[in-house]
Amino acid sequence: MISMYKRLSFLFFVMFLLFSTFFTTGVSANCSPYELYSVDSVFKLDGWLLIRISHWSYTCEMIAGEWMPVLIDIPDRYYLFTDGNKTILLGSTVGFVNGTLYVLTVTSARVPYQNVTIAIEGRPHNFTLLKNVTVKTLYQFNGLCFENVSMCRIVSYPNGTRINTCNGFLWNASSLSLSNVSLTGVPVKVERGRLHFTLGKNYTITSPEGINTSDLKLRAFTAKMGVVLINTGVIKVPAGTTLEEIPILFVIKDGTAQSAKILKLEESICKSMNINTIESPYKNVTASSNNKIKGICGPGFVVLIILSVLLLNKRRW
Amino acid sequence: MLRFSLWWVRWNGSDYESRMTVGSRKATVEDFRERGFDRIVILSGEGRGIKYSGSGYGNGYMDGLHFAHWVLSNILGDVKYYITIPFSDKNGNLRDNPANGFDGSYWRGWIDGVLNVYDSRRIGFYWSYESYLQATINDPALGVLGVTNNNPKEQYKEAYVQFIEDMSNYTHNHGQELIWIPATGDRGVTYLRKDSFDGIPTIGSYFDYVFVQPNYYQNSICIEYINGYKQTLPYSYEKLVEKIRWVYEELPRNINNPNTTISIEMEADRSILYEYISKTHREENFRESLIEKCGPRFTRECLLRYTYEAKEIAFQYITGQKDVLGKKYEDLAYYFSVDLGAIDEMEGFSRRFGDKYV
Repeated sequence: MISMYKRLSFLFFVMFLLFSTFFTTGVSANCSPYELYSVDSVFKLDGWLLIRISHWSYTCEMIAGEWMPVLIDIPDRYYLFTDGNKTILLGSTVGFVNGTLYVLTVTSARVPYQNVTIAIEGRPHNFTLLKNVTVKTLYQFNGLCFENVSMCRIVSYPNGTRINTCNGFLWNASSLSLSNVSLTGVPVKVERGRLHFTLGKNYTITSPEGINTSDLKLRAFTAKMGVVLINTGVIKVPAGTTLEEIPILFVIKDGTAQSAKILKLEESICKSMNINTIESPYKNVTASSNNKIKGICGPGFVVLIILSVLLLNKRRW
Repeated sequence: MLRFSLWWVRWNGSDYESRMTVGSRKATVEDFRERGFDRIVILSGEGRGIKYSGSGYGNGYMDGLHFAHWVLSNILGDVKYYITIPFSDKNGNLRDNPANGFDGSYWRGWIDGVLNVYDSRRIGFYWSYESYLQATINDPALGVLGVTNNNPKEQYKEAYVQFIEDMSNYTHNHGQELIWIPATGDRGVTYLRKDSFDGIPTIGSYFDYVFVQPNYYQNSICIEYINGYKQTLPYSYEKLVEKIRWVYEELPRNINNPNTTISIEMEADRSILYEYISKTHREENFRESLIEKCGPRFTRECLLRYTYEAKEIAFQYITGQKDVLGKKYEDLAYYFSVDLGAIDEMEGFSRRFGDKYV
């Protein structure tokens, strides 16, 4: 009897999980979360193409009792960089300073830095204190690969203390700018599974496998290592589909268009770099900071805050 | 002192239906008036629940005419109201392209169709497109319309601003007001200060009332633009106050039209109602997930605590205004989903703190 009860309980639990998953994902018959991608602009630098892509993410929210798609966050910008052979995803902060292409990457992590035990109503409680570690790295393109030119690690503690440790110079990402002149390329015609365009000469190539090219708005561009086809239409895909998975960029191999394989920036960083790369944002921060804003009040201060929050919550309920 | 309430309707495929209730019964105009609302805005989100016969002036005219007739014969009682100008269709596509101009558009047709039905209670129109990104190059409508390249985006933006100006002149020339309730979502004031991300200062002056949605009730995180990149922060009470301060101090300077009344929208929904969440076991659009807070057991105590928390957050719109203005705004719009019971609940909650919600 007990075993049957357990089995039934388990069945109800599984049903509950399914029910919960259905509702918490926010999907309904009338609304499914989706992503929109579109190419904004195409710039050229030393035979490479810099392609700016806008990205909107929509989730489903219940508004006045009905599921509606709602824009999450703000539209993102991504940059792809290709020479017709190699394609690199540069991230979202890219620009030119005095004709040189710069890429800024920013990563953040919450990192445990101290365990403390305190007694609440006579019982010991363990707390792990966390710090925020933000790492900003600036790269410049030297024509072949991306050189690391500067790096800052910013560590913020819960009591408001912030410590900056920088190699190279501090910069403001808003100083990075892009030209207003965008390339337009030439139109690509799709006829019976073949792609036709004129770029210096007439091209007829085979469509990429598994992709219905008649749904795409392709334009052709010349790059250093070959022709690049860019889908300039709006691409709507289910939520969670990443830039690497969408039909946005094609290169030509053996007379056939193929989706470009997109490399991460880390795969295109120059082998010998000016300064050391960061092993991990979790690494301990040394005392060699050059911008110490104010002193740390110590873990006791943080524990006091945690205790106050606990007591406040207790009083409310 | 004016109180605007939203009145949600829906096209069910053959007719419109009112969605407003008081608990389980249908709401009447009198129910709104009893709760202190003197103006109602008849809408269906951004237009998804409004009949759509196709683009162009003629279709807009017939759809507007049909809707105005329904309102005349179904929203009965003494109340001043605004009629929606539906922006999108049921699939989220635009009903027409604003960049093609106002004159021959679906929307001009819609307005003419509505104006053809005489009703002295109607005092204006409500522009239903909520995104604060409209009239910028980041307008999500650009994606829907397939406008992708940067130069066409700039051209679209200019044409869009002209469209809003023409629509505003047209409604005003017919003795009607034009109002707007833009959503700011989880974006903090650093984004609201950026021209490329905020169209409210650009087109706000074409409206008689602009009620900014703080969307604090719906969002627990806040996106800010600091040192040239995006950062995610908690949407704290301080952030709400910052947004209200931006609405109160900065936005009027930027809109720079003494004829435009600028205020905020008060926000709550059925997540504050125990009767609702105890049946559905799901919040409506409150910032905290009910299943994470109270699942899997959904005890009465937890559900009550959840509704209390939701009411606290909704009430902070009042304290936020007091912190910035020293009082509530003279004119306010209210979103509370489709059940006036949510207003009653908030009124009771506010009374405990010596305040009136509406």
